[in-house]
Amino acid sequence: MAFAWGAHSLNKILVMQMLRLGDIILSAPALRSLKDRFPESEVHLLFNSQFKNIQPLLPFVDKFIGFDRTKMQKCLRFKNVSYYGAFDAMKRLISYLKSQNYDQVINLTHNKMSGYIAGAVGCPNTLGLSIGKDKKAEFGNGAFRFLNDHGLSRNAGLIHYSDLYMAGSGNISSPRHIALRETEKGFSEIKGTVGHLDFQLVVQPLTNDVKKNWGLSNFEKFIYYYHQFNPNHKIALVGAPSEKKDLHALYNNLKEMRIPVYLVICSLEGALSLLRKTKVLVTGDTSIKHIAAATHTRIVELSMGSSHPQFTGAYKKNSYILQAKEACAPCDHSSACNHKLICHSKLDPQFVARTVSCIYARDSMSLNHIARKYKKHIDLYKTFIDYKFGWLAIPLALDVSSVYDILMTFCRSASMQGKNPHDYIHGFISNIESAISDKQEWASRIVQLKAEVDDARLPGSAFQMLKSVPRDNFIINGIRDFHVRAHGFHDIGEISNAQTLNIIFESMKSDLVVLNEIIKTIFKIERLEQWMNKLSNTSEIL
Amino acid sequence: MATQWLVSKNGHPVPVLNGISLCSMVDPIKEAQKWFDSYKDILNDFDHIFVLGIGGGYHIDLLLESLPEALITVVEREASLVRGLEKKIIDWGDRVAVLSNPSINHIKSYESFHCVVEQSSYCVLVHPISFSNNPEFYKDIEDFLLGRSTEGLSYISAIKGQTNPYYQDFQKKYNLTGKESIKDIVHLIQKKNVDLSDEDLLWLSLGELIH
Repeated sequence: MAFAWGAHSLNKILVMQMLRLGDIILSAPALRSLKDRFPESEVHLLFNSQFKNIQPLLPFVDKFIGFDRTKMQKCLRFKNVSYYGAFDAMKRLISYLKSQNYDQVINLTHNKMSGYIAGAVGCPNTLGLSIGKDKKAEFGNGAFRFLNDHGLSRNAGLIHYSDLYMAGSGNISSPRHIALRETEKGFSEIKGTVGHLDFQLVVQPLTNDVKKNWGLSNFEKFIYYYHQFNPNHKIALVGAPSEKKDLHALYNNLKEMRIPVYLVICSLEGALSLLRKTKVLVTGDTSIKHIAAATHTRIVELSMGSSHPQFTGAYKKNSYILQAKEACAPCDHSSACNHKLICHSKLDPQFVARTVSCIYARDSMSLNHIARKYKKHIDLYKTFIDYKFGWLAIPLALDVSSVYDILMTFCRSASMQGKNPHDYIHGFISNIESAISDKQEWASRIVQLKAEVDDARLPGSAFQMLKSVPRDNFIINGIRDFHVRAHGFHDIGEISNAQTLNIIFESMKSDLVVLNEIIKTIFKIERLEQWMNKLSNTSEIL
Repeated sequence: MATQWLVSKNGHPVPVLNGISLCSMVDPIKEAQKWFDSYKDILNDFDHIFVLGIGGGYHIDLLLESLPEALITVVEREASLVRGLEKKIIDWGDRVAVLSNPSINHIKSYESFHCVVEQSSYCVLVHPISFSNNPEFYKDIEDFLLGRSTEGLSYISAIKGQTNPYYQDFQKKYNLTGKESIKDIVHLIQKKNVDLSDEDLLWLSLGELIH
């Protein structure tokens, strides 16, 4: 029996998340959902004590139990130490966990080590991987089986880890977002460093993996261009104390170039307080990205190397991900790059600066334009959170394969919630059909206007037409936004020339091509019915 | 064998045995610092440190200075060297015990070693020049202390087995000699055709940590 909570309330729940800092933060929505559901229960978190600095930020956890992975590894790897040291430490940990008499154990760590530990704890109600004395692996439900079977494979649908953790933990209705607690210490730290300043842009240039690092010289160029585009913006570099030396070098270079930046070396608590004062964060695949998901900051992730943003992107809507289109990307975490880090060089600093400027300005039309223009080389994703489906990163320049990914994700989300994937797909199709019809209507009106403007018979009529559009029509509002910003117009009234209408028309045409392609693709998937039926059956397990 | 004492270029006493100086003739302090740095990743994690080889004692000075809570046991083969460092050893105080040319049986009877083994919170560091002067002696002691010889493993299992019989059973059940790596232990457990014990599961989980 995996679920204990059908019958009675739970005194103590153990959640196991023994991976890295980012994974701990991605578990926050699941921890919250447990606390929402069992407010009287004590929720304990077993985590890697190397990341103990995250403790003050995590609400919804009553007790943190540290697993000293580093020390155990030293006992096992160094020839100067007996491996009995590691065994004893593990034994003490398990004895303690057993003594707590947990009513429910939930293992969010998808590796064998945690499976053996969950098996040794031996709670009869365990969800997530548990390997028992009979050497058999149990998962407790379909979400955790999916995590084990597919992991980072794209073939089974792109389900964000936070959604998987929530589904696996039995979440029914808790809000899908990361809630972290700002601390007095973090607030004072940032106040002491930058006073009451707010920042338009904060940059975290370093990650803990060389393949995910864009490089300080790229960041230097990026900040240079960003400053050229937005000379009045306040910019800060952020990093941990261990990154101080590298960041200082970047800071000094920028200073020599007369680009005013602030250098903020701070704790995780300080980082949360800083990000709460920030409009846009540019970062690689870092824990800062996940912390920013708990704020209103717009996050731009530069995804490189082994980073899998579709699974571990910032769990937040309206974030952006830039990723080079390479056959090898994302690569394997443990192997070295044999392609001269081509995914780094494809992200040109000037291009990134332009894109980030548009994201700051919420210039969605320009972003769509950029995404389409560079779609052969780069994917620009925007994130969405649907409270029914979960998190999704959708490329702004849609193509057939991304549509397939989206469909897979929808179906998997449906089956995880025990719903029929057919309904989800059909809902999706009807949304697209209505978008096509909408765009077709506007495209034909623009064709007509184009002819009129070309003949110079009705100057200003495009403006009149645009002005008459209801404010809630997202397409036309997007067009207004695009033209005012992208072409340096100061007033919507200036939109009245043939060139402008041409761009709008081309944009519409391109959208129509993609949308029609989506519909065609959906109907072309020969095994769609069979595939959806299979997923429906999976839902019975859940 | 008598120990000669010379002075390094920067003025520190240097012990010499059989014509081999046991620390740097140029700067023994700098050499000790290098030695310390090579171990610094592990030192903070252990309460008790065994050091095989006393050398000129400069590396012990550094351990005492850098790890104010640690207890240190020094094992030295050459009694004359220990006598030559008598004053220094007194200055080190209660935190350092020096065992001069001990047999394994002597170490077994060394009372505080029982507690150290029971807690498993110790590491064994080697003073390289001392070790290379008497490799067999030091290797036997090292293997014994780390449970990598049959005698050492039996001793550790017996002490730990007083509070938990699993340790004694474990050695017998898998016919362990002490030479097995963690990978070998994992392999032996995986081959087992009956249900595992809780402790077996722990060994398997540790096996995952070395991948």
